[in-house]
Amino acid sequence: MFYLIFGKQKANGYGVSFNAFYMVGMASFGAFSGAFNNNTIRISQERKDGWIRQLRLTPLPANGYVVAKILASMATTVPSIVIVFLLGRFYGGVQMPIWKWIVCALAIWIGTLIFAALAVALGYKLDPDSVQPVAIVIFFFFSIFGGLWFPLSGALQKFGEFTPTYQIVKISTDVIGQGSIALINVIGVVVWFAIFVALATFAVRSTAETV
Amino acid sequence: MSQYETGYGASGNNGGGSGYGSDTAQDSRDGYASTSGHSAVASYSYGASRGGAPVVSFENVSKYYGRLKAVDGLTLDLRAGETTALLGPNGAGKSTSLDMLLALRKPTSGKIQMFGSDPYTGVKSGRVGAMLQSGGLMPEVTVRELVTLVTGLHPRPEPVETTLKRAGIARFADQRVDRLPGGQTQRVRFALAICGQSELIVLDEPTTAMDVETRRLFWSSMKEEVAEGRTLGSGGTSGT
Repeated sequence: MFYLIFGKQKANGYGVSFNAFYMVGMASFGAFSGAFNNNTIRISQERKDGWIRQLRLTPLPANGYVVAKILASMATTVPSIVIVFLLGRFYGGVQMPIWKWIVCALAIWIGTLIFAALAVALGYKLDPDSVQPVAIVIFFFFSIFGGLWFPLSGALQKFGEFTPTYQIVKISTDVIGQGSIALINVIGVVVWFAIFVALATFAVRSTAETV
Repeated sequence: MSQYETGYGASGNNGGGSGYGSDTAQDSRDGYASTSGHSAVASYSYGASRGGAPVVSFENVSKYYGRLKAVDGLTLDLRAGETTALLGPNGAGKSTSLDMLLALRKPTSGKIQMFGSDPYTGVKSGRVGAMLQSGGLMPEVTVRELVTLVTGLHPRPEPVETTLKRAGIARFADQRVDRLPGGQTQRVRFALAICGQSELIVLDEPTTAMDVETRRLFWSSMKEEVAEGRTLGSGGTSGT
């Protein structure tokens, strides 16, 4: 929706047309927010309902629940990425060879994984009432400072470069603009993933005693 | 012929099969555990034991929460085919003991064995069915979907329709779990406990919030389970 409203502008973002930048930003926003917000609320509620406890009493392996949640969110974000890309192509006039579309979609998809891991960490640690505002604030922070809605420049860029959202957007725009990916961004993605997975593991393990 | 075996603390009274119907007690033994304050947990086992190594054993198990002593030196055995009731007033440490049996908590000291190894292995091998006292249900799915899901996690599941019938919830099978009338959610929990045809069934305050008819259905189903050779352990505040 945002794309339809703001999408047709003329500025440049990271060396690609604004339309392309915006498409990438919005696809990321949709995918990440879907995986993140839905999962934090759902996991938190299911923990409170005692469902996770019930699952612990079945032969389901220890990480079965988390893996299932992450896989489910990976599946549900595919349509939102596809739709925004379609809008970008046919409404925004973004054109590029097929391999670039695929690589961008993959990059955003992997970004979803990162936020799904963070969702697990938050869902396990917070109760349903507090998890929602916290999730919104965190996601807002990553959206703004990661440059999902507008390209970063100057001081803001120096600060926002470190966010995981920025890494994904940069990878996609680099692919579109230059056809290549900077190693530093790939490292950034991997590092953030490791951080959030560590947080999630810690959250799951530390609630085991009291679940 | 009864044998007495007392655990830590003073010996308890051998009640033998109190309050569970007409089963005669053979080989009933007591375990006695003192807990914080003056409340106590007593275990009564009865039923025809199939012999062999104990299915479950607690050896001098204690659980402290900081300085609060929730369970103190609990020693008891569950033998195959027996029904064991862990009785005591609220706060006596029954739920904590059952939590430790089901590998939800770890004892501060002492040893718990299930099927000859640690509780976590026992639970994950699919040999235990557990009925929680409250909660434990996934919202927004139908009863049938929920039972099918949990059934599918067990290695030797019972057909879903059989489980639904045994738990008395066949007629609610297509209703959403979070939209069931009050007394029926206990039956759903019960279904989840028996759906795996487990060797050991553990129940935590199973008849809380059950009306008389549900309670009767429940215990007759439990008798069926025992007749099929299962071992039962349950915690509660009174015999029925």
